[in-house]
Amino acid sequence: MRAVIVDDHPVVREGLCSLLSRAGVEVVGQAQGGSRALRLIRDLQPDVAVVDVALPGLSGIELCRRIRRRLPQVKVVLISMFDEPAWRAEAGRAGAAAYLLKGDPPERIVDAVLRAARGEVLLPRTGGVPPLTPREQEVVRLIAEGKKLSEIARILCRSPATVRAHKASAMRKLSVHSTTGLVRAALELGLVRVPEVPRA
Amino acid sequence: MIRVLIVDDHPVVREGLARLLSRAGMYVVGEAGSGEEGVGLARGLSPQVVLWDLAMPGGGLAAIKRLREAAPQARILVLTALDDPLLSREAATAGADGFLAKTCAPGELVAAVRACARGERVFPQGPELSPREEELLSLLSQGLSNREAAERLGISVKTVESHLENLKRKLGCKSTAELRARALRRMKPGLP
Repeated sequence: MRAVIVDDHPVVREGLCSLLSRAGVEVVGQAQGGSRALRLIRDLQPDVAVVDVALPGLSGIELCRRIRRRLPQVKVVLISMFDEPAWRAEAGRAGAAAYLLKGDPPERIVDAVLRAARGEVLLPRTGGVPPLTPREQEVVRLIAEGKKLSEIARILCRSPATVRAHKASAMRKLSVHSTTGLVRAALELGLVRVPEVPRA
Repeated sequence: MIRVLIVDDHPVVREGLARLLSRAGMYVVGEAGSGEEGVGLARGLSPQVVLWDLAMPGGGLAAIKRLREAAPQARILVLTALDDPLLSREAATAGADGFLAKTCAPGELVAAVRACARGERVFPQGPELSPREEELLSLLSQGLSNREAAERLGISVKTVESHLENLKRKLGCKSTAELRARALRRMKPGLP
Protein backbone atom coordinates (compact mmCIF):
# COMPACT_ATOMS: atom_id res chain seq x y z
CA MET A 1 0.00 0.00 0.00
CA ARG A 2 1.47 3.36 -1.08
CA ALA A 3 0.71 6.82 0.31
CA VAL A 4 1.58 10.47 -0.37
CA ILE A 5 1.42 13.03 2.45
CA VAL A 6 0.53 16.68 1.81
CA ASP A 7 0.91 19.12 4.73
CA ASP A 8 2.71 22.44 5.09
CA HIS A 9 4.01 21.52 8.56
CA PRO A 10 7.14 19.34 8.25
CA VAL A 11 6.64 18.05 11.78
CA VAL A 12 3.14 16.78 10.90
CA ARG A 13 4.46 15.12 7.74
CA GLU A 14 7.14 13.44 9.84
CA GLY A 15 4.53 12.24 12.36
CA LEU A 16 2.17 10.87 9.71
CA CYS A 17 5.07 9.24 7.89
CA SER A 18 6.19 7.55 11.10
CA LEU A 19 2.70 6.29 12.03
CA LEU A 20 1.92 4.99 8.53
CA SER A 21 5.33 3.34 8.00
CA ARG A 22 4.93 1.49 11.28
CA ALA A 23 1.58 0.16 9.99
CA GLY A 24 3.26 -1.15 6.84
CA VAL A 25 2.23 1.67 4.52
CA GLU A 26 4.95 2.85 2.17
CA VAL A 27 5.11 6.65 2.14
CA VAL A 28 6.34 7.25 -1.39
CA GLY A 29 6.23 11.06 -1.41
CA GLN A 30 5.60 14.22 0.56
CA ALA A 31 4.62 17.74 -0.47
CA GLN A 32 3.81 21.05 1.18
CA GLY A 33 0.76 21.63 -0.99
CA GLY A 34 -0.43 23.30 -4.15
CA SER A 35 0.10 22.29 -7.74
CA ARG A 36 3.39 20.58 -6.82
CA ALA A 37 1.37 18.16 -4.71
CA LEU A 38 -0.97 17.46 -7.59
CA ARG A 39 1.95 16.76 -9.94
CA LEU A 40 3.62 14.51 -7.37
CA ILE A 41 0.44 12.50 -6.90
CA ARG A 42 -0.04 12.20 -10.65
CA ASP A 43 3.54 10.97 -11.09
CA LEU A 44 3.57 8.55 -8.14
CA GLN A 45 -0.01 7.22 -8.42
CA PRO A 46 -0.34 6.26 -4.73
CA ASP A 47 -3.29 4.29 -3.37
CA VAL A 48 -4.08 7.10 -1.00
CA ALA A 49 -3.18 10.75 -0.44
CA VAL A 50 -3.35 12.13 3.11
CA VAL A 51 -4.03 15.86 2.68
CA ASP A 52 -4.16 18.68 5.24
CA VAL A 53 -7.35 20.77 4.92
CA ALA A 54 -5.77 24.15 5.72
CA LEU A 55 -3.00 24.42 3.15
CA PRO A 56 -1.78 27.88 2.19
CA GLY A 57 -3.00 28.94 -1.27
CA LEU A 58 -4.91 26.07 -2.81
CA SER A 59 -6.93 24.57 0.05
CA GLY A 60 -6.80 20.88 0.87
CA ILE A 61 -10.46 20.52 -0.06
CA GLU A 62 -9.86 22.06 -3.49
CA LEU A 63 -6.78 19.86 -3.93
CA CYS A 64 -8.92 16.84 -3.02
CA ARG A 65 -11.51 17.85 -5.61
CA ARG A 66 -8.84 18.11 -8.30
CA ILE A 67 -7.21 14.79 -7.36
CA ARG A 68 -10.56 13.00 -7.44
CA ARG A 69 -11.50 14.59 -10.76
CA ARG A 70 -8.22 13.85 -12.55
CA LEU A 71 -7.05 10.71 -10.74
CA PRO A 72 -10.20 8.99 -9.48
CA GLN A 73 -8.26 5.83 -8.54
CA VAL A 74 -6.35 7.80 -5.86
CA LYS A 75 -8.28 7.90 -2.57
CA VAL A 76 -8.03 11.06 -0.49
CA VAL A 77 -8.05 11.30 3.30
CA LEU A 78 -8.39 14.86 4.57
CA ILE A 79 -6.90 15.74 7.94
CA SER A 80 -7.70 18.92 9.84
CA MET A 81 -6.91 20.81 13.02
CA PHE A 82 -10.61 21.54 13.49
CA ASP A 83 -13.75 19.47 13.77
CA GLU A 84 -15.73 21.82 11.57
CA PRO A 85 -19.09 20.41 10.35
CA ALA A 86 -19.07 22.71 7.30
CA TRP A 87 -15.64 21.43 6.26
CA ARG A 88 -16.60 17.83 6.97
CA ALA A 89 -19.63 18.18 4.68
CA GLU A 90 -17.49 19.92 2.08
CA ALA A 91 -14.89 17.15 2.30
CA GLY A 92 -17.62 14.62 1.47
CA ARG A 93 -18.75 16.65 -1.51
CA ALA A 94 -15.15 17.00 -2.72
CA GLY A 95 -14.87 13.20 -2.88
CA ALA A 96 -12.74 12.58 0.21
CA ALA A 97 -12.93 9.08 1.69
CA ALA A 98 -12.45 10.31 5.25
CA TYR A 99 -12.12 13.49 7.33
CA LEU A 100 -9.73 13.05 10.24
CA LEU A 101 -8.55 15.35 13.01
CA LYS A 102 -4.94 15.98 13.92
CA GLY A 103 -6.02 15.42 17.51
CA ASP A 104 -7.32 11.90 16.72
CA PRO A 105 -5.54 8.96 18.35
CA PRO A 106 -2.85 7.51 16.05
CA GLU A 107 -4.71 4.16 15.76
CA ARG A 108 -7.78 5.92 14.36
CA ILE A 109 -5.72 7.84 11.82
CA VAL A 110 -3.88 4.73 10.66
CA ASP A 111 -7.08 2.66 10.53
CA ALA A 112 -8.89 5.28 8.44
CA VAL A 113 -6.01 5.61 5.98
CA LEU A 114 -5.82 1.82 5.53
CA ARG A 115 -9.57 1.50 5.02
CA ALA A 116 -9.65 4.44 2.60
CA ALA A 117 -6.78 2.97 0.59
CA ARG A 118 -8.81 -0.25 0.28
CA GLY A 119 -11.69 1.74 -1.20
CA GLU A 120 -13.92 2.26 1.81
CA VAL A 121 -15.71 5.58 2.11
CA LEU A 122 -15.97 6.73 5.72
CA LEU A 123 -17.74 10.01 5.02
CA PRO A 124 -21.34 10.65 4.05
CA ARG A 125 -21.48 11.95 0.49
CA THR A 126 -24.17 14.50 1.29
CA GLY A 127 -24.39 17.20 3.87
CA GLY A 128 -26.48 20.20 4.80
CA VAL A 129 -26.88 22.77 2.05
CA PRO A 130 -24.31 25.48 2.70
CA PRO A 131 -25.23 29.10 2.27
CA LEU A 132 -22.46 29.46 -0.31
CA THR A 133 -21.36 27.31 -3.22
CA PRO A 134 -17.99 25.58 -2.81
CA ARG A 135 -16.40 28.07 -5.21
CA GLU A 136 -17.84 31.03 -3.34
CA GLN A 137 -16.59 29.58 -0.05
CA GLU A 138 -13.15 29.19 -1.57
CA VAL A 139 -13.11 32.81 -2.77
CA VAL A 140 -14.37 34.11 0.58
CA ARG A 141 -11.80 32.05 2.45
CA LEU A 142 -8.95 33.41 0.35
CA ILE A 143 -10.24 36.97 0.78
CA ALA A 144 -10.34 36.41 4.54
CA GLU A 145 -6.75 35.23 4.35
CA GLY A 146 -5.93 38.62 2.88
CA LYS A 147 -5.39 37.57 -0.73
CA LYS A 148 -6.06 40.13 -3.46
CA LEU A 149 -8.59 39.30 -6.18
CA SER A 150 -5.80 39.00 -8.75
CA GLU A 151 -3.96 36.48 -6.54
CA ILE A 152 -7.17 34.52 -5.95
CA ALA A 153 -7.79 34.44 -9.68
CA ARG A 154 -4.31 32.97 -10.16
CA ILE A 155 -4.72 30.41 -7.37
CA LEU A 156 -8.09 29.21 -8.67
CA CYS A 157 -7.13 29.47 -12.35
CA ARG A 158 -10.09 31.74 -13.04
CA SER A 159 -10.34 35.27 -14.45
CA PRO A 160 -10.44 38.21 -12.01
CA ALA A 161 -13.91 38.99 -13.36
CA THR A 162 -15.16 35.53 -12.37
CA VAL A 163 -13.63 35.88 -8.92
CA ARG A 164 -15.24 39.30 -8.54
CA ALA A 165 -18.59 37.78 -9.53
CA HIS A 166 -18.22 35.01 -6.90
CA LYS A 167 -17.34 37.63 -4.31
CA ALA A 168 -20.34 39.78 -5.22
CA SER A 169 -22.65 36.77 -5.12
CA ALA A 170 -21.28 35.71 -1.71
CA MET A 171 -21.75 39.24 -0.36
CA ARG A 172 -25.34 39.26 -1.62
CA LYS A 173 -26.11 35.89 -0.01
CA LEU A 174 -24.54 36.92 3.29
CA SER A 175 -26.14 40.39 3.20
CA VAL A 176 -22.86 42.20 3.75
CA HIS A 177 -21.73 45.35 2.01
CA SER A 178 -18.01 45.53 2.57
CA THR A 179 -14.97 43.29 2.40
CA THR A 180 -14.58 43.66 6.15
CA GLY A 181 -18.15 42.46 6.61
CA LEU A 182 -17.43 39.54 4.32
CA VAL A 183 -14.35 38.55 6.31
CA ARG A 184 -16.29 38.76 9.55
CA ALA A 185 -19.09 36.60 8.07
CA ALA A 186 -16.49 34.10 6.88
CA LEU A 187 -15.15 33.84 10.42
CA GLU A 188 -18.64 33.37 11.83
CA LEU A 189 -19.43 30.69 9.25
CA GLY A 190 -16.25 28.87 10.14
CA LEU A 191 -14.86 29.19 6.61
CA VAL A 192 -11.71 30.60 8.19
CA ARG A 193 -10.71 29.85 11.70
CA VAL A 194 -7.78 30.28 13.97
CA PRO A 195 -7.72 28.50 17.29
CA GLU A 196 -8.27 30.73 20.29
CA VAL A 197 -5.13 31.51 22.22
CA PRO A 198 -5.74 31.80 25.94
CA ARG A 199 -4.05 35.09 26.85
CA ALA A 200 -2.07 35.76 29.99
CA MET B 1 22.23 14.51 25.57
CA ILE B 2 19.55 17.20 25.59
CA ARG B 3 16.46 16.15 27.56
CA VAL B 4 13.24 17.36 25.91
CA LEU B 5 9.61 17.27 27.04
CA ILE B 6 6.99 17.53 24.25
CA VAL B 7 3.64 19.15 25.10
CA ASP B 8 1.13 19.21 22.23
CA ASP B 9 -2.49 18.03 22.01
CA HIS B 10 -2.03 16.44 18.58
CA PRO B 11 -0.57 12.93 18.81
CA VAL B 12 0.59 13.09 15.20
CA VAL B 13 2.60 16.24 15.97
CA ARG B 14 4.13 14.64 19.10
CA GLU B 15 5.09 11.63 17.00
CA GLY B 16 6.78 13.83 14.39
CA LEU B 17 8.61 15.92 16.98
CA ALA B 18 9.79 12.87 18.92
CA ARG B 19 11.14 11.27 15.76
CA LEU B 20 12.92 14.40 14.52
CA LEU B 21 14.51 15.12 17.91
CA SER B 22 15.57 11.51 18.58
CA ARG B 23 17.14 11.33 15.15
CA ALA B 24 19.14 14.46 16.05
CA GLY B 25 20.50 12.68 19.12
CA MET B 26 18.20 14.22 21.73
CA TYR B 27 16.39 12.35 24.46
CA VAL B 28 12.59 12.80 24.64
CA VAL B 29 11.91 12.36 28.37
CA GLY B 30 8.14 12.50 27.99
CA GLU B 31 5.10 13.59 26.01
CA ALA B 32 1.97 15.36 27.24
CA GLY B 33 -1.32 16.11 25.46
CA SER B 34 -2.45 19.07 27.57
CA GLY B 35 -1.06 22.01 29.49
CA GLU B 36 -1.88 20.52 32.89
CA GLU B 37 -0.29 17.20 32.05
CA GLY B 38 2.73 19.06 30.67
CA VAL B 39 3.21 21.08 33.86
CA GLY B 40 2.97 17.88 35.92
CA LEU B 41 5.51 16.02 33.79
CA ALA B 42 7.87 19.00 33.72
CA ARG B 43 7.88 19.00 37.53
CA GLY B 44 8.73 15.29 37.72
CA LEU B 45 11.04 14.77 34.74
CA SER B 46 13.21 17.92 34.93
CA PRO B 47 13.63 18.39 31.17
CA GLN B 48 16.17 20.89 29.85
CA VAL B 49 13.83 22.10 27.11
CA VAL B 50 10.01 22.01 27.00
CA LEU B 51 8.39 22.25 23.56
CA TRP B 52 5.11 24.02 24.30
CA ASP B 53 2.11 24.28 21.95
CA LEU B 54 -0.13 27.33 22.33
CA ALA B 55 -3.56 26.26 21.08
CA MET B 56 -4.19 23.26 23.35
CA PRO B 57 -6.37 22.56 26.37
CA GLY B 58 -4.77 24.01 29.49
CA GLY B 59 -2.03 25.51 27.35
CA GLY B 60 -1.64 28.92 25.91
CA LEU B 61 0.42 31.84 27.09
CA ALA B 62 -1.16 32.04 30.54
CA ALA B 63 -0.03 28.52 31.46
CA ILE B 64 3.61 29.33 30.71
CA LYS B 65 3.81 30.98 34.13
CA ARG B 66 2.68 27.75 35.83
CA LEU B 67 5.17 25.76 33.77
CA ARG B 68 7.93 28.17 34.79
CA GLU B 69 7.02 27.70 38.46
CA ALA B 70 6.86 23.91 38.14
CA ALA B 71 10.21 23.61 36.37
CA PRO B 72 12.28 26.75 36.97
CA GLN B 73 15.37 25.29 35.34
CA ALA B 74 13.60 24.26 32.10
CA ARG B 75 13.89 26.38 28.96
CA ILE B 76 10.50 26.91 27.31
CA LEU B 77 10.31 26.85 23.51
CA VAL B 78 6.87 27.76 22.15
CA LEU B 79 5.97 25.91 18.96
CA THR B 80 2.80 27.06 17.28
CA ALA B 81 0.67 26.63 14.17
CA LEU B 82 -0.72 30.14 14.60
CA ASP B 83 0.37 32.52 11.90
CA ASP B 84 0.67 35.79 13.80
CA PRO B 85 3.81 37.92 13.86
CA LEU B 86 2.72 39.64 17.06
CA LEU B 87 2.40 36.40 19.00
CA SER B 88 6.14 35.87 19.47
CA ARG B 89 6.38 39.12 21.43
CA GLU B 90 3.48 38.04 23.61
CA ALA B 91 5.18 34.71 24.21
CA ALA B 92 8.39 36.48 25.25
CA THR B 93 6.42 38.67 27.66
CA ALA B 94 4.69 35.58 29.06
CA GLY B 95 8.09 34.12 29.95
CA ALA B 96 8.99 31.84 27.04
CA ASP B 97 12.65 31.44 26.04
CA GLY B 98 11.93 30.86 22.37
CA PHE B 99 9.25 30.91 19.69
CA LEU B 100 9.00 28.82 16.57
CA ALA B 101 6.35 28.32 13.86
CA LYS B 102 5.28 24.77 13.01
CA THR B 103 6.02 25.53 9.37
CA CYS B 104 9.74 25.56 10.28
CA ALA B 105 12.09 23.09 8.62
CA PRO B 106 13.28 20.12 10.72
CA GLY B 107 16.81 21.58 10.79
CA GLU B 108 15.54 24.87 12.20
CA LEU B 109 13.64 23.02 14.91
CA VAL B 110 16.67 21.03 15.99
CA ALA B 111 18.88 24.15 15.95
CA ALA B 112 16.33 26.08 18.03
CA VAL B 113 16.11 23.33 20.67
CA ARG B 114 19.92 23.19 20.89
CA ALA B 115 20.17 26.99 21.19
CA CYS B 116 17.49 27.01 23.90
CA ALA B 117 19.30 24.27 25.81
CA ARG B 118 22.48 26.40 25.68
CA GLY B 119 20.54 29.20 27.34
CA GLU B 120 20.06 31.36 24.26
CA ARG B 121 16.80 33.13 23.54
CA VAL B 122 15.33 32.12 20.21
CA PHE B 123 12.86 34.62 18.81
CA PRO B 124 12.16 35.70 15.24
CA GLN B 125 12.83 39.37 14.56
CA GLY B 126 9.40 40.65 15.57
CA PRO B 127 8.09 44.01 14.42
CA GLU B 128 8.37 46.97 16.82
CA LEU B 129 5.01 48.74 16.88
CA SER B 130 4.40 52.21 18.28
CA PRO B 131 1.62 52.61 20.88
CA ARG B 132 -0.49 54.38 18.24
CA GLU B 133 -0.01 51.51 15.80
CA GLU B 134 -0.97 49.00 18.52
CA GLU B 135 -4.12 51.02 19.21
CA LEU B 136 -5.05 51.21 15.55
CA LEU B 137 -4.47 47.48 15.08
CA SER B 138 -6.80 46.76 17.96
CA LEU B 139 -9.50 49.00 16.44
CA LEU B 140 -9.10 47.25 13.09
CA SER B 141 -9.54 43.92 14.84
CA GLN B 142 -12.92 45.19 16.05
CA GLY B 143 -13.89 45.76 12.42
CA LEU B 144 -13.79 49.58 12.47
CA SER B 145 -13.42 51.45 9.18
CA ASN B 146 -10.60 53.95 8.64
CA ARG B 147 -12.98 56.83 9.28
CA GLU B 148 -14.37 55.28 12.47
CA ALA B 149 -10.85 54.56 13.70
CA ALA B 150 -9.80 58.15 12.95
CA GLU B 151 -12.76 59.51 14.94
CA ARG B 152 -12.05 57.17 17.84
CA LEU B 153 -8.39 58.19 17.99
CA GLY B 154 -9.10 61.87 17.35
CA ILE B 155 -6.80 61.99 14.32
CA SER B 156 -7.36 62.56 10.60
CA VAL B 157 -8.16 59.80 8.12
CA LYS B 158 -4.92 60.74 6.33
CA THR B 159 -2.93 60.05 9.51
CA VAL B 160 -4.72 56.72 9.92
CA GLU B 161 -3.78 55.86 6.36
CA SER B 162 -0.13 56.66 6.98
CA HIS B 163 -0.15 54.49 10.16
CA LEU B 164 -1.71 51.72 8.05
CA GLU B 165 1.12 51.99 5.52
CA ASN B 166 3.66 51.57 8.34
CA LEU B 167 1.73 48.64 9.80
CA LYS B 168 1.57 46.93 6.41
CA ARG B 169 5.32 47.28 6.03
CA LYS B 170 6.11 46.12 9.56
CA LEU B 171 3.76 43.14 9.47
CA GLY B 172 4.65 42.16 5.92
CA CYS B 173 1.14 42.64 4.51
CA LYS B 174 0.92 43.31 0.80
CA SER B 175 -2.41 45.14 0.93
CA THR B 176 -4.65 46.93 3.39
CA ALA B 177 -7.13 44.11 2.83
CA GLU B 178 -4.54 41.63 4.07
CA LEU B 179 -3.78 43.81 7.09
CA ARG B 180 -7.48 44.03 7.93
CA ALA B 181 -7.89 40.29 7.52
CA ARG B 182 -4.87 39.71 9.77
CA ALA B 183 -6.28 42.07 12.40
CA LEU B 184 -9.75 40.49 12.24
CA ARG B 185 -8.30 37.02 12.65
CA ARG B 186 -6.80 38.22 15.90
CA MET B 187 -10.33 38.89 17.09
CA LYS B 188 -10.95 36.71 20.13
CA PRO B 189 -14.68 36.32 20.80
CA GLY B 190 -15.57 36.48 24.45
CA LEU B 191 -12.67 38.72 25.44
CA PRO B 192 -13.16 42.40 26.21
